[in-house]
Amino acid sequence: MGLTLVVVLVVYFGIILGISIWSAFHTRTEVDFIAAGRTIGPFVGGAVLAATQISAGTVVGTLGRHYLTGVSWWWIWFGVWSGWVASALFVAPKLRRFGALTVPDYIAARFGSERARALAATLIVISYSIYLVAQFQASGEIAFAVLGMKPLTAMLILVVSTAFYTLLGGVRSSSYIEFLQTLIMVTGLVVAVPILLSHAGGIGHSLSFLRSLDSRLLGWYYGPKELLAFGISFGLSIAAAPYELTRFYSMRSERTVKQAIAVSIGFQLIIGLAVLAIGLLTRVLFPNLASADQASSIMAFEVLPPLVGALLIVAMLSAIMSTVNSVLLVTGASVAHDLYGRFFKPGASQRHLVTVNRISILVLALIPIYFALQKFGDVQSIVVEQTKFIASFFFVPIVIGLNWKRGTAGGAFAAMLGGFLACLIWEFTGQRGFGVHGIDAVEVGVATSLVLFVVVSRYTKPVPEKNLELFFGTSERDK
Amino acid sequence: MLLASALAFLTMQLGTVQITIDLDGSKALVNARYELDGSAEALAFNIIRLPGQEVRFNNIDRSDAVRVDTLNGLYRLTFDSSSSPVILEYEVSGTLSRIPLPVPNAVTQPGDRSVSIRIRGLGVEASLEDGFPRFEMRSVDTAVAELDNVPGFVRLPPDAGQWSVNRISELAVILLIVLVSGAWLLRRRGRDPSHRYSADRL
Repeated sequence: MGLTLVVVLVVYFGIILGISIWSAFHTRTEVDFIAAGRTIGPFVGGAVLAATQISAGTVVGTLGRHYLTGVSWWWIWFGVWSGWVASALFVAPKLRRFGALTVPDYIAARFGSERARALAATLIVISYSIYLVAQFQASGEIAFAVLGMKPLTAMLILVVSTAFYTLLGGVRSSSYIEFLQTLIMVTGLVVAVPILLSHAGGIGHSLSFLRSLDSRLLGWYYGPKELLAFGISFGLSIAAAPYELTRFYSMRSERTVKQAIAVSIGFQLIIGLAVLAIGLLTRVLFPNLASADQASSIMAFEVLPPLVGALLIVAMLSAIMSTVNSVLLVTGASVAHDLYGRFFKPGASQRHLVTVNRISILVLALIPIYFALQKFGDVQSIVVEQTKFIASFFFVPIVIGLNWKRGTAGGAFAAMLGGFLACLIWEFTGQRGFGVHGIDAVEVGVATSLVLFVVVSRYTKPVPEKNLELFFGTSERDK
Repeated sequence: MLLASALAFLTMQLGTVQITIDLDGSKALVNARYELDGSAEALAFNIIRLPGQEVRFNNIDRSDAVRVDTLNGLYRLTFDSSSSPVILEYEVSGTLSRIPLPVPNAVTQPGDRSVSIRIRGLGVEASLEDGFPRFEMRSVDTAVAELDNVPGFVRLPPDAGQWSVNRISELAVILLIVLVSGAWLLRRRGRDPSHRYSADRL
């Protein structure tokens, strides 16, 4: 396994290096860097969206959650896909038509408020730094389980390699690389299932064993209320997730965006089913692991044949890298484009903004490492917390804001800040957990955000018509 | 709920685990020795029940301190109290392609490779890479696996020369890589130069 893994890793990083250098030669403007010159088509776009969606949260966290709690966690995928469908119907076409570079661009244009833009950019940086913590923690788990490497070393290698290709080519190199990463993930995960099944000796007695081990594994480990809250967190956050929405800006047209979302859901379905099967079968093979987050790496390293195992480890690293990359692009753009370029140096040149963007990416990549080393929770828990925040402050101003003309700048500002604070307070003042109220922080956050958006919008100055025309005017014809 | 499960394990940590499987024609004799750190008041083992197989415990059926529950898919051994080390001996007969192992509710320290499984009496033709977990030959008929965690069972390596799922899957991966690379090269050759940097042309 050792030699095979090294060879596969060298080949993989060699390809990434080649694509990054090639892309760097074709990245000259901010539009090239943040939106790949708006050239991405539906198949690559779908693969890119899938790679962005499938993170350490999936290949380490979700797989570990299936290992620990069984099949019921799979229901959260319906929340995820509902979010994608809502995005395809109500968000993506309008945002793509608008043709912005970042989500705060949309906030500023839709509501005619630079103050709202600054708040949106700040909240993006905060919430996605939490997301990076989960990704880094997962990379530490994998490197420790597979290579015996110290988590800090693994995190630094991840940051350097991901920042390298992000800094060189921006979204253009990311899109090529994420296309490749999705293919690797699908291949690695799908091929692993029959091998595990063969080791386990078949479906029948595997299920029988799991049922005897804990009857909830094949039934309802989580109750419907809990699953609904998790589904809401994922669905609402995906419908308004800046790092997904930014990818729409790089696609050719509104129709391309919708097609790409459909392709992405197809990839996610395959990956979701494979992750479920692998989680359950790993529980049959190793019924009591010290940490559920280890399930994926132990299975890849100790169960699968060397080539497939190495491929799956690369797939896991790919998932982490693609998400880290997307998050870095979004947070870097928030700092450079939405904060620095708007408030600190409005007349900055394109070249200067790209440089600031690159420096921001490097700094924002390093800070979460400290928190990842503290291990505040398992990978999936951290991802869930982050999705709750995104849903709480972005769902209403983005999804409702794109479809309700009466929303105002004051309403959007109040909705973002109020939603964020409500979620934060509910989560960290002992209110969390269904044992107390049966109400989750995301439900409180989104409800607060919605109420504030509607009420404050009713009593504040309407947005000028010229701003509304951008989003509620006639649709462009797709070519 | 998750926290409660985790706390239940906190009182116990597995030290070293040594499992020896002696293959003897139509049966296998398993000797499993578990060293525990900390209190062992809630110690329990799960042993998977495999079809076509019979498991007979040699040293625990007579003990009052152990309760054996036979469920559909597993045997559960619950110790009222126990002292370290815990030694379990049992005989497996019937279909021997997989040998079930007792998995305790205590866990090992990750990275220590403190679980050692030894199989004696393997055929010289055994194809180790197709077994589970991954074994290494230590002498003519003895294979050893060293792991971080206790597996639910051992899948005995089949005789070399047979087509296994492992080999088929590796071939499938190689074939897929060749096909995708070929398709990509063909597409590059046939593409329109005016769209040479379109990402969809990858």
